[in-house]
Amino acid sequence: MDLSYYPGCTLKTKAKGLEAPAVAAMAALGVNLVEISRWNCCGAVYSLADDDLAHHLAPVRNLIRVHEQGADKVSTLCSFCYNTLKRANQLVQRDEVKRRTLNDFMEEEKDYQGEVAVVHLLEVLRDDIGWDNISAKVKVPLQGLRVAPYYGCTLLRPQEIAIDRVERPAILHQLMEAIGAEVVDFPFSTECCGSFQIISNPDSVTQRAWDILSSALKRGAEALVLTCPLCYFNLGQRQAELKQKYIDFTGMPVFYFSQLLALALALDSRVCHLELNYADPLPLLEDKRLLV
Amino acid sequence: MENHVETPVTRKALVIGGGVAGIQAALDIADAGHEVFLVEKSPSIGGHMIQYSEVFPTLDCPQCILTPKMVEVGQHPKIKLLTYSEVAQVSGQMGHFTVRVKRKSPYVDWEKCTGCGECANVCPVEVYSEFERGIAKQKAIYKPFGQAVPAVFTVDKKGIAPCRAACPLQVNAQGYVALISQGRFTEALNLVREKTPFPGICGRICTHPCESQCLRGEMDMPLAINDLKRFVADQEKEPAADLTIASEREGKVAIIGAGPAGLMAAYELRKMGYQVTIFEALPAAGGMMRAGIPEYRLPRDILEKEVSLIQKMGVAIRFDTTIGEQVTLAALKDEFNTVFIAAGAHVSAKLGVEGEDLAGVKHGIDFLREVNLNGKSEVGERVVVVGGGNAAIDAARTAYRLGAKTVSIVYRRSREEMPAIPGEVIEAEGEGIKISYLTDPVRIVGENGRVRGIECLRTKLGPPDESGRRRSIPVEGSEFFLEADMIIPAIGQVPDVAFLGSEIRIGLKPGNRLEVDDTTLQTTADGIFAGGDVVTGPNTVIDALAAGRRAAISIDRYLRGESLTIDREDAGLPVSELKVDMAGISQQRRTDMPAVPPAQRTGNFREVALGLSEEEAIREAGRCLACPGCSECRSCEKVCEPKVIDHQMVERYEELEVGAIVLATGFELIPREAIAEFEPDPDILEGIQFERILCPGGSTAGVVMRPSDQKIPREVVFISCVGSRDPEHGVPYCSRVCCMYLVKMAMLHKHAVPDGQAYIFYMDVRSTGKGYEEFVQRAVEEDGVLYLRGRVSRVFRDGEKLKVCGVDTLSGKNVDISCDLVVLGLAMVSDPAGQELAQRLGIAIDEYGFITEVHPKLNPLETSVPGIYVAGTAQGPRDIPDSVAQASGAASKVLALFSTGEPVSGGVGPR
Amino acid sequence: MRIEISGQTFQSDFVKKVAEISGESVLSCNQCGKCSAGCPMAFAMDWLPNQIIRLVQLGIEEDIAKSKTPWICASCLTCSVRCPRGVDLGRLMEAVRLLTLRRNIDYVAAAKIPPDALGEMPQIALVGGFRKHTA
Ligand SMILES: Cc1cc2nc3c(=O)[nH]c(=O)nc-3n(C[C@H](O)[C@H](O)[C@H](O)COP(=O)(O)OP(=O)(O)OC[C@H]3O[C@@H](n4cnc5c(N)ncnc54)[C@H](O)[C@@H]3O)c2cc1C
Ligand code: SF4
Ligand code: SF4
Ligand code: SF4
Ligand code: SF4
Repeated sequence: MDLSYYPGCTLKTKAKGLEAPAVAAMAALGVNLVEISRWNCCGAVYSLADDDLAHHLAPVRNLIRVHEQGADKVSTLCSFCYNTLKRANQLVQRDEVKRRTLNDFMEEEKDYQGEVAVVHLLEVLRDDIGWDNISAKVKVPLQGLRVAPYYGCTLLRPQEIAIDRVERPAILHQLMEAIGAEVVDFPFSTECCGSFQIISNPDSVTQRAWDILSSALKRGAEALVLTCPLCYFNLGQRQAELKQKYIDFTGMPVFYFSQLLALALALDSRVCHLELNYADPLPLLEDKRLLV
Repeated sequence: MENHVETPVTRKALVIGGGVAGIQAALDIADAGHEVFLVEKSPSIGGHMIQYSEVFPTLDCPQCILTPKMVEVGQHPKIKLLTYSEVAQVSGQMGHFTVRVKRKSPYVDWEKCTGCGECANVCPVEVYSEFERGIAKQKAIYKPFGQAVPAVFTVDKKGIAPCRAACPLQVNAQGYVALISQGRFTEALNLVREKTPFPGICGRICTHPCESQCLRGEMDMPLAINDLKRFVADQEKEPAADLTIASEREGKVAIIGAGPAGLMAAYELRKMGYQVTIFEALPAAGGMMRAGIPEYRLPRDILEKEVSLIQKMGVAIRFDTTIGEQVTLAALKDEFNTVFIAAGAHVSAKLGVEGEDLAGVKHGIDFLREVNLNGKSEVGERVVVVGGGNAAIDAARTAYRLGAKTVSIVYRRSREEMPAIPGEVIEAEGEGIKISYLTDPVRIVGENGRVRGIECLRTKLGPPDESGRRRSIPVEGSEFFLEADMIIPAIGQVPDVAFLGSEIRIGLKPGNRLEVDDTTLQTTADGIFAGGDVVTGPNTVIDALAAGRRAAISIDRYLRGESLTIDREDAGLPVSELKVDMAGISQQRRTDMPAVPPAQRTGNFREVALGLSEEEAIREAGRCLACPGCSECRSCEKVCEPKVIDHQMVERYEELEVGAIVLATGFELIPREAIAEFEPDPDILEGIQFERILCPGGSTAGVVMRPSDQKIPREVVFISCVGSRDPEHGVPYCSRVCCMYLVKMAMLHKHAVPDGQAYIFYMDVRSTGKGYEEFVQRAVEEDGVLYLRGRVSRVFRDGEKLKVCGVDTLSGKNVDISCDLVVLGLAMVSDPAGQELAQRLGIAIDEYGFITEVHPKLNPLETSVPGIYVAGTAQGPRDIPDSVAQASGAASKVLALFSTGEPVSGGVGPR
Repeated sequence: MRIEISGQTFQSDFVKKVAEISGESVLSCNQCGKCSAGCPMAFAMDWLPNQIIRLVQLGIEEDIAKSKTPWICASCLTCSVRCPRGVDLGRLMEAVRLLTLRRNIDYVAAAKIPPDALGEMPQIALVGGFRKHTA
């Protein structure tokens, strides 16, 4: 099955560890991710101002590209891209006046009415492939790996774009169960990591990272699994500082879901770019004999 | 208005809903001398109020103030109480209503029940109590609470347990599991024996279809039902089965084959009093249970003990007698009135490859038969078994025990397709038996007439074949060679039908299987029946036993000259759609039986699985969710002195004629799950649950303990407006009573736990009744209840504590509290049953399901249907004083109508 | 601390603009504080999120202009999904920020962020951060 796919800027630079194993794992699961042939930055954050349409142009243009290429569905991997594309799409679908203005502005483009469906890859795994089928393909069940699913904000909020229940979502939990990991549920799994405040208020982000990591540690997690390159950065890169601040804290590996999926499918671990992870995951993976 | 109603009104009233409002209205009308019917959906009247510990603002206890009124209702000569009933239909008009009432079946004759409670003492099934709002359990036969009116018992029965319905023999699994959980092993065994004389055999080798239906499997793992059956069977040394025979009857039955199908038919027919003779080719009874299934799975003393019961009942077994050789089928048919063919499937299917007749090739069933009957057989050093069924696994494990150095199995499909019992496959692997999947033999290679090995091909899976399993397709050029000095092909068995002879013509199906009618098991020849593997091809013991019973029923009918098809006794149990609320149940591992370590299994045939200990069995049985409530073990029937329990009782309908109706159907709370930001946790309670914990008559006998660990909760957080004043959760209105009941409970908590601390998160305190604000002040000043102004965003568990993340907007601070217990002031919503009823009667309700009055000021208490009035929380959230005031008001409207006798006058319809 | 309010203060241009840019009705808020109670960034704020709305309701522009809160807000929308009254506070915060940014005043200067840090951060952090915090 071919599935069209929007990568976004971050995946092509900082988040290879998210993209490469995802593409490989999907191929192993029989889905060929077809990158849309021309795309631009989605704008990262969805504009929350009622009078600001300019910032919706970027995501909508991407959707027009998908439509042009004859697809009715586009998958995303980066949570921010998912959020921005999905919300812009909903705006076009639901607000007739704004839709008209946007279309009028983009004279050179064909009118877009929200024909394309925006999905996150996790939804594809759940709804199109199915947990049972994934389980059946697992070659190295992640037995004994106590991993805490962390969702962050942009896959779940606001309500109308949520890929699962807003409170106590399960989709990442289910994926981890399907690939044989021991799932550790923890109370901070949907709490914000501080997000883009890393630019202006990095200390607050450090505090958030500690709240989240320590909560997972307290419930016995050995690693965190997540979907978003920004969460990954905030929760990973801040650990150096946290280790100095809290002497008992020895670090906690943070994985992209795609990395664990690829490992469970026994794909070549080099595709996971584990060397890019902030807290070195190799000792943990070796200890659990999960590297083949 | 069309025509004036001339006939005077029926001066009888119907009150629907037996809460405090309904009780008040009923008493007022009855005291004025009119007959009243009081319909309540639950078994007792009392409504919500009777669940509370003490009520604001006077802090008197409902037990003291409501119970006398309930008793008065129960004894009032003018009141007819119809509890456990619902109004199905109302027709007519004001002054002349005809009401159809559904009386649900309590399975107890309430007229005669003395309320002694002996039944509940012996009932082994425990279910969550609705009255205790799920925080305590009660028996499946129950009286909802001590002071219930009427003081009688009701059976909570929602259908038939899926395990029991799944059993081909309908063994009451839920029932015996429940009895085991109570340590009542003999009774459990007797219950098993009602359906099978072979508990020890079934408990070991049944493929237990019951377990695959077990609803507990949806949350963790199915109960070990089969191991529990084995456990009770093992509890007695000598079978104490009831072998009484009804009374001797005319009719001689011949049975061919002493396997499970034949033995079961013999047992049933002999019990009915017929003369039964079994003809068996082998020197011992048991069929495949003896010749096929190895001893390490089914010890011979167990087999012997249970099979010999059949002989003790007077069934003759003629061993070493092969029909078709010593005696012909035609001769049998002449000598006996009917014949039941249960000869099984004992001929090994052939691989059909080159070399199958070399020395060293022994087919699975032949090999097993030899070992099982003689205790030994020659075995090679390197053994390869071909096949993936139980016979293949049994042959491999038997070869291992006889001393083979290496044993391997080749199977042409994958593990998922393998028909063998998964547990057996795992055991085999544990014994070092190597299984090569996707491997197909092409020829057996010999040297000097003896086996040297086997050549195989790799296969891959293609689309499913007619059996639903995926076809295996050979991979070109993947041949390889396996060295072996013994090859055991075990790829299936077929019936041997040579004995049929030619005098009697019996239809056959592909695979030498006898053709029978599915329902009656009669073959194409009159008076000859067949069942078990001879009909189905290789199958299971449990299905063969069921076929034996089915044949016995047909044969009895045949001999009595009755129809074989009409109203058969084995029609099967209805499958009930059961939903079990698993929210409050924690995961608990299934208890596995200990086993003999693999290293000690060679050179002997000791039973591998060692059985559960008493303690393990009780623990495992305790995992049962009691899906349908009552298990129909019928323990209660045995102790009920007046003999008033009737498990077949059905619901019935009653018709009433009344002139006026009062609706007092009350309220419910918004479901807890609707508020997802407060994670599900046993220590996050709804208000009524905490009332039960505070109540001296509650399950904790008034000791304030939290559900998770029975510790005394010191710090308790009460949260107001949960789901109320919350349009996003669909409830924009204020629930009016939670402000007051929360402060009441905070106060009562402080009285019960003097060193405790209560916190109340609130938006604004609505204390508008007489004496209410003073009550709140008392709580703050005397009991130190701390009010925090703001909502709570989240509650989650943090070790032993619960973490409440709230805010105090007065100080402008976010407030976190680590506490022991959280009580939610959940929104009051209309009772779904009441709402549904109102809709059915065409009574106007508001968008939240509360009944609307014609005009709140000009026509209070009058619904949109003349002659039907409303009282209490059915109209909207309100407290008890307001509810009873309304009830008396509604009663006076009814009385006004009755006293004028003129339906058109009086306050009906907007003026 | 004493302020004087009148119809003018809470019907000021400022209040109207916040309502216009956010598209939210400030009056729906009944000050229950649930937004603040769950806000992950509240620990670093000077006014709680519900207080910002209160200040808007009262039209007290100076305090809002001085407040760090809108700049600490991470647009996580936790408040928005839990508000019982359906107020999308995230949008109100954005409106308040925009009223400053649209006067061409930046909250953060790219030049002040160490180049190492900038180089290491994922694009979404940079684009997102600068979108939220610069004119
Ligand atoms: C936790 C809590 C504590 C409270 N504490 C106090 C307190 O201290 N003081 C106070 O004044 N108030 C208190 N209240 C309020 C009080 O519970 C109600 O005011 C009172 O119960 C209303 O009585 P009712 O008869 O209208 O309704 P209910 O008590 O709800 O009774 C209605 C009855 O109707 C039955 N019914 C419903 N539908 C049908 C149908 N279709 N057919 C037949 N029967 C039907 C129900 O089974 C029920 O028995 C409290 C409420 C709560 C939630
Ligand atoms: S044992 Fe019989 S009489 Fe006694 S309470 Fe039970 S049903 Fe009623
Ligand atoms: S009575 Fe009090 S707690 Fe209940 S909804 Fe109204 S204000 Fe909230
Ligand atoms: S949660 Fe909503 S209603 Fe409550 S204070 Fe915040 S914005 Fe206002
Ligand atoms: S969106 Fe802003 S104000 Fe709202 S919870 Fe998140 S950080 Fe706090």
